[in-house]
Amino acid sequence: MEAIRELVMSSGFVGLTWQNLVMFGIGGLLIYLAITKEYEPLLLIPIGFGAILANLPEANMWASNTAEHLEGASHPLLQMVYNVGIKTEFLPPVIFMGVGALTDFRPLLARPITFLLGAAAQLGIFVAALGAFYLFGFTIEQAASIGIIGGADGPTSIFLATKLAPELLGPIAVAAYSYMSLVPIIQPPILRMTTTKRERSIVIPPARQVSHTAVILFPILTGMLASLAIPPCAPLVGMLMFGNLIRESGVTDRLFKTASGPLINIVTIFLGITVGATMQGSEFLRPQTIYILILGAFAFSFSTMGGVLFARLINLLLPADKQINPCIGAAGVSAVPMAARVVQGFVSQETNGKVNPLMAAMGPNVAGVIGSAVVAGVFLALIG
Amino acid sequence: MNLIAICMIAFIAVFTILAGLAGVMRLITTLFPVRSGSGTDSAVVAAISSAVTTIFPGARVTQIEEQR
Repeated sequence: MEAIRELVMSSGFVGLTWQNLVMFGIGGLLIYLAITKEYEPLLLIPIGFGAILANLPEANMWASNTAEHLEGASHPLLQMVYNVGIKTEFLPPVIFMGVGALTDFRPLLARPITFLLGAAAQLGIFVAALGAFYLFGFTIEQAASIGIIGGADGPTSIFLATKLAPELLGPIAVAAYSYMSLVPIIQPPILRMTTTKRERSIVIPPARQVSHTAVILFPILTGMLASLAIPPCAPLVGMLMFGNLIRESGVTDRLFKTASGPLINIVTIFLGITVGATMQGSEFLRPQTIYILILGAFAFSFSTMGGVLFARLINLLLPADKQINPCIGAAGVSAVPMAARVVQGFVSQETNGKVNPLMAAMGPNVAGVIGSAVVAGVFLALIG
Repeated sequence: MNLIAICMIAFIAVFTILAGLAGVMRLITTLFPVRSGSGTDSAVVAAISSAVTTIFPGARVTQIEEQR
C-alpha cells in the first residue's frame, strides 16, 4: 500500500499547476492551428508539442537558458539539445543554409530595385523595438529581440533572441511563427488601405534575363559584401548564401539535396521542439508575453506598410511605363514564399485575374530575408 | 547609445547594404548577360521550377527547351 502511495505521489499529476494546464491548452492550440489551418505546420507542431512536454511535472522535458548543470547529474533531454544547438547558435544558421538551398534568387537578380523594397519592409522591426522600449519598459536588448519579429523570419528571431534576450526566446519564437502563419489575414487589409485601385492594376514590365554566371556570382558576392559590412550577420547571410551556391553551382547535387531536404528537416525538428520546451508555464504566462504578441502584430503591420509605401515612393521617380505594382512591397517582409503568394492572391482577386505579380513579388520577398539578417547583425554589433 | 539612434543607424545600414547589393547585381547582370539564343526568361524559369518542385519535391529543373 505504501508503495502504491509513493508511486502516486511521485506521478506528475500531483505536481500539476494551473500554469501547466493553460500551457497544455496553448500547445494544443498551436497543434490545432497547424493541422486544421495548415499554419506553419512544420514548426508549430514541434513547438506546440514541445510546450506540452515542458509542462509535464517531473518529466524533465523543459529547456531553459538559466539552467545550470550539476556535476554528475544527467542532462534533461531537450536541455541538452538547447545547450548544444541553440545556446551555441548552431541551429538557426543551418536552417538558413537550407533556406538558401531552397530559394531561387533569380526574381531578385532580374529586378535589382526590389532589393530596396526588402529593406523598406524592415520598418516594423524599428517601430516594434521602439514601442517595446518606450511603451512597455523592456530593456534595449529585449526590445531589439522583440522588434526583429517584424522581419518575419523565424530563425533570425531565434538567433537574435538567443544572443540578446534568451529569457524571452519562447514568446518571441511563438509570436514570430504565429504571425508568419497569419500573413494571409494581416496583409490584405493593409494592402487595400495603402494602395489605390489604379496602383493595384499596374502590370510590371517583364524582367530581364539572368545568366548562369550572374546566378553563381550572386551568393559569393552577397555573402562577402554583407559579412564584410556587418560581420555579426555572417552566420546567417553567409550560410544562406552558401546554401544558395550549392543549389546553383549545378555540380554539388548531393550537398544540395542534403541541405534542402534531410538536414533542414532534422534541424527544424530539433529547433521547433526545443523552442517549445522553453515555454514553461511559470516563465511564459507573464504580462510580457501578451506585450510581445501585441508588438509582433504592430511589427508585421508596419513592415507591410513600409514595403508598400516605399514602392509608391519609387513609382514617383519612375517613368509611367516602368512603374511597379506597389503591392509587391508587402512581400518584403520575408515569410518566404507566403508573403509573395498573398500579394499574388490579393492583386489577382482585385483585378479579376488580369494582373499576376507572383514572380515580381518573389524579388522583395527573398530580399527581405537578407534585410532582416542584416538588421539582426546591426543590432548585435551595436547592442550585443 | 539610445535605441532611437540604434534604430536609425540600423535602418540606414540595411538600406545602404541592400542598395549596394542592388548596384553590384545590376553590374554583374550587365557584365555577364545571357548569351543570345540560350536564355529563357528568368520569370519563366522560376515559375516552371516552382511548379515542378511543388509536384515533385526535391526535383530540379536543369534544362528548359522551347519547341516551336
